[in-house]
Amino acid sequence: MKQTEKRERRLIVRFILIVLACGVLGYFIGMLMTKYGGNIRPLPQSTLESITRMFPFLFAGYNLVLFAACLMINRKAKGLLTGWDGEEEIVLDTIEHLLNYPILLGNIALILNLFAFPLSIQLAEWTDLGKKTEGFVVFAALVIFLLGYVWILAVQNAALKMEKTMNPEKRGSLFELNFQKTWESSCDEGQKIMIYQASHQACKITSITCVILWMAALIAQFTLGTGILPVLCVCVIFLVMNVSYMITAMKLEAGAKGGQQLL
Amino acid sequence: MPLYNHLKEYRAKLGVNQQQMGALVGTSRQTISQIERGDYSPSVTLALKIAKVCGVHVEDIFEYVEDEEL
Repeated sequence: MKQTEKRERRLIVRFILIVLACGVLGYFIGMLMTKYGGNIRPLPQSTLESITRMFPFLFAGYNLVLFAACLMINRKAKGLLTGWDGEEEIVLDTIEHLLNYPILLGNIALILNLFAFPLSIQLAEWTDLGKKTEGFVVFAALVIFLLGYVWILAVQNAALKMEKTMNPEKRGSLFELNFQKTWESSCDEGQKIMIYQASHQACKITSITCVILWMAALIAQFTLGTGILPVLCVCVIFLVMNVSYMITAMKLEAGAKGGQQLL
Repeated sequence: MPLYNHLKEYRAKLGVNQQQMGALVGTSRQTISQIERGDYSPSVTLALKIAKVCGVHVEDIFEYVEDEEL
């Protein structure tokens, strides 16, 4: 008991020290913002124009690289599956491990594209390259964005098909709206626990990311004049995540069978 | 995790692969693979089902070993 109290006291002291350190850091950042805040300027026009001209190629380039990587992985997995003798079960584990990558890379590409498309429009707006070049930048962004969506769906669907070939009990199609729900309902207890552990880890990391982003958005509000919208966006994500987590936890605690119902 | 198992040996005795074992106990091949690798401790219900299919007691397949005993 004494040890627990000692540990608790140590944790409180550490917490107070961290809060004080953050306060001091905040004071210095505030001081710097007052002194230099108004002087921070966006990139020079010539640099912005060069970035805008290159951007469609950069946008298409990373999509091509990720697409090629996913194709190669899918092909390797397909080769292993076709050549599987039905005995060596480690081969199936290897294929399943490989198939995680097209899903991961596809999701990364999708999120990058969701950012790159509006960024292209913003770049065209920021610069004065003439209607023709600006039109090309926006049109190219739209085409790459749509094509990106097609390749992501295609490689993820191919990976999903292989997954379903190896595990016939799995259900769900990428083209249905509640795919995650259907897929989860076809998973057994071991896989559901894996999904829940991964979700919990994502929730923890997102919490830390939200705090860091809130600080960055706050600094940007005063130094770059980005306004309140970035802070609001971070707070909405933080709020939705925390409230949905707590409501689910409370529901599970209240119902004795809640935990089992999840599995 | 101090839970060890002999599922692979008992599955070999039955002469079934992971997919067939999964079908027999109502679970997936992946979960059977995870149990065999020691990456997942099954629920009591699943452990009992596995023991029933193998025709042995749960303790014959799964054993709890304290860390000091290792």
